[in-house]
Amino acid sequence: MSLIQLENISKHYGKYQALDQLNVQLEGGMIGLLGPNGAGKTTLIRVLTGFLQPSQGRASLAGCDLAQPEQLAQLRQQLGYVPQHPAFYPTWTCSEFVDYIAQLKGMHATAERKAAVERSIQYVGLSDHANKATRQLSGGMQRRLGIAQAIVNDPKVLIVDEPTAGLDPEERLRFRHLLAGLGNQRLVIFSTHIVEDIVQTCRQVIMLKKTILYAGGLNELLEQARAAQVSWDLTSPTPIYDQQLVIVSSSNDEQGYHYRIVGQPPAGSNAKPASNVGLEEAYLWMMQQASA
Amino acid sequence: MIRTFCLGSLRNISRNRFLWVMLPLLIVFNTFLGLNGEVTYTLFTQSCACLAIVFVHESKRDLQLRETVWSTRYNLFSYSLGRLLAYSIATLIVIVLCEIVVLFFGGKGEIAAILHHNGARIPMSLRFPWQLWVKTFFSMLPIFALLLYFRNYYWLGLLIAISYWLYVFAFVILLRQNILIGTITPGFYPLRWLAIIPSTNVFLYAWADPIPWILPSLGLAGLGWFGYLAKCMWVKTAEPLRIQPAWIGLGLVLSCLSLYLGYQQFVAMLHVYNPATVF
Repeated sequence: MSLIQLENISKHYGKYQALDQLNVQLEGGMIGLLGPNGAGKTTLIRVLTGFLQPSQGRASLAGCDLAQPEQLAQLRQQLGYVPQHPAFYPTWTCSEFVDYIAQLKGMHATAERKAAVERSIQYVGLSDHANKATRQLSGGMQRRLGIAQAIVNDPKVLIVDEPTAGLDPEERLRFRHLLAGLGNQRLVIFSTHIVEDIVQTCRQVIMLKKTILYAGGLNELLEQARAAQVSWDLTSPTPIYDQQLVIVSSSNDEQGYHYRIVGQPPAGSNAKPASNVGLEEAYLWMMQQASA
Repeated sequence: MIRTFCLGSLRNISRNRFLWVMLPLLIVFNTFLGLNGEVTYTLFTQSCACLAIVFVHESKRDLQLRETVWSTRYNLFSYSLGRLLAYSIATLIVIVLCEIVVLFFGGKGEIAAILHHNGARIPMSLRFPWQLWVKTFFSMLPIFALLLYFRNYYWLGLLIAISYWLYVFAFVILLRQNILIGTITPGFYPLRWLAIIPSTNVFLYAWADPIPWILPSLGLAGLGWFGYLAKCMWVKTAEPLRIQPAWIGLGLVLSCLSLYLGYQQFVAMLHVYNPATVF
């Protein structure tokens, strides 16, 4: 059964087209939503959470038709959401805030709620800061508190919008580990523009640039990219300054300048097809195709 | 859920630094001025008007939080009712705090009087002026409803809240010279029509019977609240409302009725009201 189903979803703000004819059917697990800035990731997430109504098309998540208010309300009972910029009441403590969200999610039994709050705060590693005011938390801790409020009701669907943007490497690793753990038991939609985050955590990916460029398994995408020979290794005695080339990596030694490029290599060059193709190359290839 | 929103708002109010700095300052300032009849009234209204500014600050924070809160079982009806209840309770608490000050330091044995709408003069204890509490409490309700209406427009809300607070504050200097709608002395007052709004003429009729204030205030607050719900229903925001259109319609009708009946009472009061005869 498809847990995410989009049929001809479009969204426009006046004349600006944010999403164009999205069609997707994906199963559960951890799904990466990948695209450049301005690709429409946050708009799609807002459609999936029901904050925005699509201009056209139908969307369903975890079997709930988002156009039906009753089903949307039903979805929200099993939804956890971490927005791109999580905000809190600055004078409240972490426990108070998570407890407040738990109550709004319908957890009325006090003892059970308190235990769930404690558990979720512990899960994200904020137990030592539970009684600290939210304004005293660092950026990384605030993101983790965002996760804690989202998982307090043990949701079946967790949507996380660019959680790793602006975090230091250590906090990013911690975050990836957190999300990977959560993805074992539920549908997690993880939006990001950082390719490495997807590689390390997701098995399915949606690539977006106003329209769907790819939706499916990560391995299948890499297979496609390899078959299409999207990536080339190139060595040149002089540096290459061609703005048209999409250079993924470069290095130099006494033999010359070594480049990994995506797309067609320059005519007459000594480019060889790359033996291993990563998601970054596949992503750039997709973006190139979309721009062509 | 109404209770959760209400308690959440009360927690925000109780931890608002602006309020806890301003309240003691106002109490000291007004006590210094002597807490006679008009200063006592000013203390109540100024202190409660601070809550309008707190309301706007909380609305701004709620706007930042809305994606998180909307992903819960949030609905606009519970949220707005919870907040209005919280601010009504906070108004009562502020009135009680001011009353404690007035009880110990106010009046010095002076007795003011209010004019009942049948024309009778009723003495009022300045140590226990329940008539002023009633008027102050009900004059805040339309302000909160108005600020709820503009909750997504921070600067406009702040402008309204600060203007109202300054307007109340200015009364200390201007006493009954109401700059907006004029006094009972003749003259050109282009905004005189504002007199039907209880929150703006709170001083002009400071010593009038408080009863004719209740219905117009409730009517205006109801119009603001149900009007906002109706607007959100009309423009089809993604916010779940959880209230049927028929209830919104009924609320609007009752609010209009309350405003109309209150206005009749108010006009009747105006016919007999002459501040010069009160004392």
